[in-house]
Amino acid sequence: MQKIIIVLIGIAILGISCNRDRFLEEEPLDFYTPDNAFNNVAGYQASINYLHNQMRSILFGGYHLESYFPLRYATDFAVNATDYSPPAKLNDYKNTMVPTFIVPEKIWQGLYLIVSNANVVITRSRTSTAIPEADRIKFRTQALFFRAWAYNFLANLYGGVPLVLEETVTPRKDYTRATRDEVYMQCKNDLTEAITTLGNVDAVEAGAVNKQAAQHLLTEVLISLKDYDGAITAASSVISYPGLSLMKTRFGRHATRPGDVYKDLFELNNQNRTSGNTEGIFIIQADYQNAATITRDVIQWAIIPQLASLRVSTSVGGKAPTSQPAIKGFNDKLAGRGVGWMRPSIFFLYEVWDDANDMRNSEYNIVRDIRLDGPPANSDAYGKYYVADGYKAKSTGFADTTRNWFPILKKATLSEGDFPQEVLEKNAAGNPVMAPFGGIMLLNSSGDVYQKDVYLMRLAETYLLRAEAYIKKETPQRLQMMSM
Amino acid sequence: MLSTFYVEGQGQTKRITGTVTDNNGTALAGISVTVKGAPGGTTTDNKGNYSIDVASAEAVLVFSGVGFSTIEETLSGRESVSVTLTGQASDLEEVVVIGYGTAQKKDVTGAVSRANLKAFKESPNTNILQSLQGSVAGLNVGAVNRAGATPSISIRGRVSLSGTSAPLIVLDGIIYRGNLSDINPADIATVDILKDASAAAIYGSQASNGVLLLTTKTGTAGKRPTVSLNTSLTFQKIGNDDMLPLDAEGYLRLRADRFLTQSRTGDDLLSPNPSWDVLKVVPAEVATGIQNGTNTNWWDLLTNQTPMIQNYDVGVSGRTEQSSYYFSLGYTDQENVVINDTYKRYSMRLNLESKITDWLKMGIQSSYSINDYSGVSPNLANIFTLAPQMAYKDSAGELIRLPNRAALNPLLEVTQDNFDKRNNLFGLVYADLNIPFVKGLNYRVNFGNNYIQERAYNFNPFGQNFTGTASKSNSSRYNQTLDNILNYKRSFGDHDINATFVYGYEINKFDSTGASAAGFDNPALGYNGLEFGSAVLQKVGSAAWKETSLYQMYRLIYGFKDRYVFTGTLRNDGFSGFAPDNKIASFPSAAFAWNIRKESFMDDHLTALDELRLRLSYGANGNRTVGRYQTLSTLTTSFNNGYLYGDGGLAQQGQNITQLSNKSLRWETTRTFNVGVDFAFLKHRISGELNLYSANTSDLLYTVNIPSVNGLTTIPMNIGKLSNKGIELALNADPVQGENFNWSTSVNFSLNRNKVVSILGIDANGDGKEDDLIASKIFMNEPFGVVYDYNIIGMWQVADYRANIIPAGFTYGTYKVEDMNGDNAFTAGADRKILGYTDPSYRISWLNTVRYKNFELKAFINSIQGGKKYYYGQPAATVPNPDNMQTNNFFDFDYWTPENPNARYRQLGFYTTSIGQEFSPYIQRNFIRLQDLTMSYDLPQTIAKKAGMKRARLFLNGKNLFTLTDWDGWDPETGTGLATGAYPLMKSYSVGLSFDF
Repeated sequence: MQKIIIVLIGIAILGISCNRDRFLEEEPLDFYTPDNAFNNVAGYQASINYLHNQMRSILFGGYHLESYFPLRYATDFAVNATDYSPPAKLNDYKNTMVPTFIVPEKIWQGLYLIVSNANVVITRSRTSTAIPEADRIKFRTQALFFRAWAYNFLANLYGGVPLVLEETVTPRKDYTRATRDEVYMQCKNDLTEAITTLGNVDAVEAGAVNKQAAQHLLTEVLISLKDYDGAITAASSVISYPGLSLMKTRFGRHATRPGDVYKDLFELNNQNRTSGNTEGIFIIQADYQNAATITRDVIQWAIIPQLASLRVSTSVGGKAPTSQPAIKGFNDKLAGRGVGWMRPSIFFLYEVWDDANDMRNSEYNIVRDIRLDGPPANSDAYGKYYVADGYKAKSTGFADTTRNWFPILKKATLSEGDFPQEVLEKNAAGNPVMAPFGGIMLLNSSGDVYQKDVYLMRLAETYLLRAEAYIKKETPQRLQMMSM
Repeated sequence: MLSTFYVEGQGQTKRITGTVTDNNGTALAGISVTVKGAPGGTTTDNKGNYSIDVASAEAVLVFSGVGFSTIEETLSGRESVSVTLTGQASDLEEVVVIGYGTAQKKDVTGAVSRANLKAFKESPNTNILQSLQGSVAGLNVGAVNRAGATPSISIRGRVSLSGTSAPLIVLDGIIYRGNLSDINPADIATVDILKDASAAAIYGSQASNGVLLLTTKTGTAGKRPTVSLNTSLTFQKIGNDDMLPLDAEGYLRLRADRFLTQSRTGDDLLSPNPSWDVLKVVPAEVATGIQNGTNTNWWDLLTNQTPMIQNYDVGVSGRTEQSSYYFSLGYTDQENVVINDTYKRYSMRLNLESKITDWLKMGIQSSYSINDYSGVSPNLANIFTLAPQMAYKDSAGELIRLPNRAALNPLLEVTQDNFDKRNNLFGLVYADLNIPFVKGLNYRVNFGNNYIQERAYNFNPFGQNFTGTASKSNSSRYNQTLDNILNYKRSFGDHDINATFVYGYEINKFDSTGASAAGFDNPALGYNGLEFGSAVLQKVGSAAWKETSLYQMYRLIYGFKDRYVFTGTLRNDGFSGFAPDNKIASFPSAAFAWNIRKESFMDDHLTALDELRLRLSYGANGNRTVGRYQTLSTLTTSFNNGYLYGDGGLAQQGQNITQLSNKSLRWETTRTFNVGVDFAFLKHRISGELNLYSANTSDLLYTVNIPSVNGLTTIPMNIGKLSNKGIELALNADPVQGENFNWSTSVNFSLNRNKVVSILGIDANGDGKEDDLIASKIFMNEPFGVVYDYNIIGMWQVADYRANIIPAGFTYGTYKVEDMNGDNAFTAGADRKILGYTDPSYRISWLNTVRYKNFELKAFINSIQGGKKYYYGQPAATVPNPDNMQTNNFFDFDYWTPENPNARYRQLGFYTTSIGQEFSPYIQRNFIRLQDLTMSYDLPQTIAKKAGMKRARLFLNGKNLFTLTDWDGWDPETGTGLATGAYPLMKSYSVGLSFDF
């Protein structure tokens, strides 16, 4: 009995005698905190990786799909093909271009996520004793580049925005807007500093921040600041950099297939310098099934027409005409599955191509007709061409004329043979199912596997920026008149 | 075999058995049965049964129990004596659980209610909370529509916006962190509900939502063990046939209604358009189906027509001089309407207490349950949206993988290999000693352990484009509690003292490991062969956390002359999740009760009044709200956040700050004032309890929007204030008390009014009043949960369209909304107003029990009402937009067409973008439901005895048989509207048997 009492008293004392503060101390078990996240080079690299990730996420539509489209709508490039009523979405500027509407709100938030996380690296790398000085500078300049990219984007869309230049430790509510020029000036300062130490495009890892990318971005910033001479100088340093040149001959993955060099530029894995491409300056990296590539690029899904719903009226077996599907399904020769959410504008599809030899408008790059394999084989339409044989002209369904059919931009999809095996339709024996007129039939999931490196900056664009600077420099008066 | 339990009396003694019930026919446990003039005696078990040995056929049995008048019965040769005790003495002498101890009801100063579990004993409730639904005033229990689900639960009004609104659950004195589904309802003896601040204050920082005290059964039977057998079989049906998806013909009609301009013609759009060709708008698979005459009933293929619930419980309990025990086994097998929405529970319990010496008792209360939720239910949305024209199998009889080329065939989806089992092991070891030499001083130590293991494995052969996905996740949760309870209970003349001191700690730990893989070349091993997935698609994850609490509680109950009772409590709570400068929270409370009936002046006036007691209490309770790690700066690190460099580059981690350090965060405090009156008159034929309360919450944690320039869009801050006021009334009456016929009835009523007093405290527009948070639809001095929207004043019609008076953005068949500022535009800023509130106005329930001889009929009607402005929902908020209505199937509902101009909901082919696709009418969720109807028959004692049984009962139960409502959707109480992914509420019919040996 005494034993029992001793045990009980022992338990009671155990309960009472523990150290209160130590007992209640909180210890994070499965996540990092700033105390242990920035103790080595890998920690800083992880923060830079996040900046790349967030930039890609905004541009691929993963950050917020709804605000992905407006970055393309309301330009000369594309319109919304799913809004069948005039006041829908961005067609109704008055009611949707307001701060409470999700689109302007989300783009703002996404860009400030880049700013604030770049600031974490900028502030911490300044004083860190955990990593060597060379690394401190390396990470700081990369962060400066991202901050400038985000602020330039913000200034372009929103004008003067609040300038925050250090890590936020305590949330603030008293931000005030800087002027638009102040924002551009900050971009200029950040980029100017970054350019002094950033590595050249052919010296850094594929996709990494580099000197030429900073100079390219600086060109754009300086044009906005109306410093045309500065812009021309910055662009010229990119153009004259020996490691960069325009691609003029066939190269890379499908160099021996019928096609042209413009098509080569957009083939899978043809963007990084390892493919022989010397035109890319800053390339957003994405690999199918890579653990660090979660977001698909939605462009294929969005801008390939919803062919699966396209209908043609045709007589089957000599009977009265009925409505029949135009195609059996997407096949890898044509494109991965799209839903025609975004329709390139009439200007882009038809009007801009005044040069008959424009390679960008070649049959390899814009497919302007399809062969009808959807109607039954004993129908009149089977094997005919949708445009050339007049079916398009006769189409009446509203969606058929807006989103179910428009020319296919091949650079927004993968080429024949490049789709992952698992999105190919297979028969019971496990063999791919062929489309009647060539190509392997694709599953609907072919719309979800589009992950291809994308140019954020390409040398061709630097030329255009320099040209813009020259034009604005030469003809300020004319521009002034235009803007009035 | 049954008779082996029945032992005949030895020698001269004779064994007398019987049942003790109260006026309601409810069996009474713990009633003392003695033989007049003889030592010893016994008490009734929890079925009200007793057995006692007597020496003479003319002995007199004395039945007595706290709260009841004592009855003496002369045997006159009878071997079975069953009596009915009336609560003549006082209900106030009933012993209730008050947390860290018990007290007689007369000494309880706070608002404490005991649930009437007996009333719902025959209902097919797989969760104890279902037996509380509607039965206790102020306790709000939601309905469930999934197998094995735990209903939502709250007490009184909402006192927190960010924190939990669920009460603290205490099981046998230990804070229970598991799922209540894991506990077999048959093992629960009592549920006491602590509603006001004074009663709940003993649990301090976790008590502001009230406390539910669950007590499991113990051995209280006589000398012989009692064996109870309960079994029931339940057949279920869906509650609402209107919600079934349309057939092939309906699907085509839906297309025509979606494309009005194509399918109709004429000025009034009332004539069918002869050139309408449905083939133009349907996908190829549907076109084929139309030609083939396919009419697939996806609902029938993927649901059980008559899902069943089976329930079996065996309990053995007994008590000897040295020890008491309760042992039980339970098995529940629940099948719901949707395939694989199943639940199986195997449970066992052993409660044991032994008297080691005169002053020391030791015991264990333990349970183990295996809860099986295995099986993948189909995505309900697919069942509703897949066209009936789509075939589910091909000509060879094989299931078609992708009937619409996009969604996996639900019939394949349900064949995934899924394993989902949750094991719950609970063990409370205690020692209870009366400290020698100090009379009335008792020390008790409770050492509670709860280990919960979850295993969730799945293999989906159709995932990752039919190359297979598999995952395995193992997690466990361990909770340890040690309570040292020192109690001093003694009376000195007119003075009664009951003082309690508690010192204890709680440790709560979690850890989990998960792995997944995809892309299997050979899927034969499923989730047990994760390593055979594609190298790049193998993923691992792990998680862990730990929480600690340290606390003391002081309570003094002081009574004077049985008339005046004072209670004071103080609880100090330390919690690891609180910020370093705010580690300890203190919560004081005080209460006073006045037993007016005991005053001598009452005797002269109100002889019909048996009881009258007034209670007043005031105190502070907390809601931790701040969760673990919430005050720390946090990074999110993952490959998902990361990046790669170069084609084929290795994935690298990425990290970003997702939470800033927030040292000022603290708990929320609710201060409640409660006035209560307990009364009984006409010899307890009418009794009841009335409570009025006012609760004010401060330091309300609210997630405040901050400029996204900070890199975060919100942070939590303790700045708001809420108030709740309410009334609760419980009334019981026994209108008829006859020899053979009894009728008793009880009504519960509760009403709560909630008000937001302050959130941010900002008056930016300078009008002297705090600004409303319109974006979050929170308004000062209005209830939380406001319906703030455009006001629908009609429906635009074709005639309006022809008259060209429809504003831009609208067309015929869309909602005509009020243009409040008359600017001919409809903007969120200027044209919305408060249309009502989402909370209920009041809840009322009515239980009737009618007994005629051995028959008993119980009917329970439950209702939640919104009055004029409350309990609004938006059933059509989830109706698909026109784009998603082009080819998908749906169910029929009251949408606008030219032929149905007075419809409740807009046309299918258009919505007004500027007011949003979810915009639709608000409808009250008011309902009156016949929630339980039970008919039972007790075998007459004489026959039962011949069969060797103490008691035998046969019962029939109908649950949710009838619901009166204007709501559109599966059910108003679950709040599911015209949604495709929602589960139906089931109605059920049960038959059951229960025996005691």
